[in-house]
Amino acid sequence: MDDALSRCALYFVAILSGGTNSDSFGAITHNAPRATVVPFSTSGLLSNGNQRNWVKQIKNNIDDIRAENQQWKASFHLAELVLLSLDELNLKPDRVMAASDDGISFYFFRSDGYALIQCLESKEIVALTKEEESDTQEVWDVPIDLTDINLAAFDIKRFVTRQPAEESSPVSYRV
Amino acid sequence: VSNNLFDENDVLFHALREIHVKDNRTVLPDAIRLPSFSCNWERYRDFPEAVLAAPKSDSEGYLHVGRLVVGDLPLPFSADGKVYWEVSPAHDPIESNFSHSEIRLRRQGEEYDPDTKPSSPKLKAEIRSSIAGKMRLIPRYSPRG
Repeated sequence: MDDALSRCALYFVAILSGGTNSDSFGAITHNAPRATVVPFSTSGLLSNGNQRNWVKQIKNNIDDIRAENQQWKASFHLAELVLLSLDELNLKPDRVMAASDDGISFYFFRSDGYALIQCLESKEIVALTKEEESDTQEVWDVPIDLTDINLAAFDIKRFVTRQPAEESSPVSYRV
Repeated sequence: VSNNLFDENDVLFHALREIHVKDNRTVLPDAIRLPSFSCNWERYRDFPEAVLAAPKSDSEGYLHVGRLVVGDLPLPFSADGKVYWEVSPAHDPIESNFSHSEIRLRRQGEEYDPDTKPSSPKLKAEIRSSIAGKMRLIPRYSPRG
């Protein structure tokens, strides 16, 4: 099955099935998706009383950035949407910082590469993956809706958890 | 000094913040400011850590030095196949630092304009990541005895 279709199918199976524990995401592989373990739950929004510690920590990081950039609005709104997806996938950013253009950068590290989601004041989201040894990168615009943000986060989780020797696969939905 | 004096083997040093360095090895894209960022040209100041001497260094965590070889600068970029953007070094001496130079991004065939950069965030991310990928970290300076 086409890669994008397969992932969309997984997503909608997740929605229709009522979701499962997002911690089981690691069991999914690109070549052999299993509809019984899906990364998305139907919990939708973060529950303040049941937040992971790292989510609270990232929110504090974002608040620090907000304190220094009080004129920014859109990027914080987008960052909240991204954080919803990251929480759903239990995908913890390794670093959150003000972007070199106005906005917020979420970085995700693996030993030989990194991924980035940027939420910008221009009301755009950009995602990037970088393989350090080969110096190759993939960059794509992320449409501003939860489904597309979820899919981008899904791709980034797959990138940062992939072992270096595993073959990468192009993702066809990227625009 | 004419900018065409840059040789492809020339080296430029750029000050990097701690937050923009991964694993003491990799420079992250947000370290790269567009449309230009400052460097020291090794030809006129060959002590890499001199680039950390700027006043900004004290308060913002500029602890690392990135090394960029002119010949490694990436090829021109385009988002649409029509407008191309290229990066190139420019010697821009200042009173306190004759070696001061900039890596500048400009539309191919046009003069550099400090107020102009691509509007596409995707293209900007691609350019930043490409430049960052060519930058090598210099091992931290350790004063002797």
